[in-house]
Amino acid sequence: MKTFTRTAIAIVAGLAIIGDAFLLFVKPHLAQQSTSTGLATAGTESGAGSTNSNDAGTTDGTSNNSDSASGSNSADSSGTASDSSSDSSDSSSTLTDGTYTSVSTPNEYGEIQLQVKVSGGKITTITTLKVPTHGRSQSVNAQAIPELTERAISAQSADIQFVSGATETSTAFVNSLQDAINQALNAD
Amino acid sequence: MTVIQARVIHAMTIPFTLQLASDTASAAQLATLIDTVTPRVADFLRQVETTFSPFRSDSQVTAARHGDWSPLLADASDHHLPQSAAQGQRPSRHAGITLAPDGTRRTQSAFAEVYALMEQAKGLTHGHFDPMHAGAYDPTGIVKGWAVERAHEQFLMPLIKSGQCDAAALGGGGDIQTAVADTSDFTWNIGVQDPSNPHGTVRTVTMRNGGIATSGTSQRGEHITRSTHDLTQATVIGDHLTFADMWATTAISAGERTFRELVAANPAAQNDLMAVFIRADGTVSELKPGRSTPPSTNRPALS
Repeated sequence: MKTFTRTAIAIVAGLAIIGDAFLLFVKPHLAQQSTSTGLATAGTESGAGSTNSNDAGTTDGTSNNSDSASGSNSADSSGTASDSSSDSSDSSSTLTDGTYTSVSTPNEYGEIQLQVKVSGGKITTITTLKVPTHGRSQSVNAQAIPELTERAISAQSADIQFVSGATETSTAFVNSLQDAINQALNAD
Repeated sequence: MTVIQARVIHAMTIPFTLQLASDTASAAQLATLIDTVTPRVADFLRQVETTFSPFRSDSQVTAARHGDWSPLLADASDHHLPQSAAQGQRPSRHAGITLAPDGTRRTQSAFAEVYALMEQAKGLTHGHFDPMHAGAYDPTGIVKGWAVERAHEQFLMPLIKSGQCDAAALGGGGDIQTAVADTSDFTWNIGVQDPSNPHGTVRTVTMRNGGIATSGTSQRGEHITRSTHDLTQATVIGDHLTFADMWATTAISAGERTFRELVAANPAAQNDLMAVFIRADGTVSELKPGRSTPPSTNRPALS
């Protein structure tokens, strides 16, 4: 019985390692290569060990008919935008046909590219491309000043300058805790 | 003796608080400085509202909802928002580019930057953070935190870097970005609101450079689809407010257990994030960063 249990545990552990290795090393590269893998909520149950969730998402315009197709390499497999019937506003300037690539600066969670396809002067497809970060060491971006991250959560309030809450609105601001703190600071 | 000055800006129907601290300047000197920078921050926040409000008929988000996604391809320097943000000092760190089919390069529009962030957030959170709400594009959930982080970076960081003040923070609607000059010992103390007592806090977070965001069931303007209701309030602390805000919303949407699993599965999040949760039964729980930190940093244990 003991041997059986051990064997079972070994098999499960082995499979888990193989699965993790797949998610960590193989899947991100697949995601990087394929321009569009369909639905963004890819059903990877455990993204364990992987910095990214491996999904190149597709978003379309007003309707949400993302196709959860397999990872074909065609950017055309994504949904089409601007199919709203009540479409009244045309863009003022005509866009040159072709594919535009819009690249944001990478952040600690990776890098996102948008591929926007224009045909007949109108945007027909928006594809989101996720470029995984390579390795964990990139997770901290150099900021303008060194990240002296000294953080602590303590039980009670001493001298606070800000309040982080979920209910603050302009109408409720007068006599709020933040309002009182601001006035006290300025009075010093 | 450290002095602090505070100013309030009303934009996006939210009161934003801007604070500057100095170890050496007089209160009067600091007041002059803050009165110079406050209108610039206010202009920026109002331009963000013009661009992103789903309630304005002339916003780019409204245009997108009607099928016009051309703001994605707009050159930032053509349009209202990043124009004034730029003014010669737009940080290169956030100067994304758009490559046109004819090979020309444009500065990425803020609309495209936020769109990309929304898509990234959706992937990171396995869909718990979703740019589509009730069938329409709705970046409301990320724009406030993003705007505070950008405004802090573009208008307040230069004051620290040039030595005009020692610390600067900007917050609105519970989302706060802070920074301190590395030559100063100043720390920001931020109270986590007690949702059951408007004048009470349940925890104090001590931080220097970072973002802190709180999401809750009663928060206005947040369109959160919830799969569970075990959390009343979630406060997340990270290096960057945009993501702290996104994770706080995710915690409310996904619940504490799923949130912890999402963070545990993501090394960048696990390494960075701290959190304070208020559960439906009123108890408070905390999330600590997952990995041990290098000796140069100081993250005392939770008390």
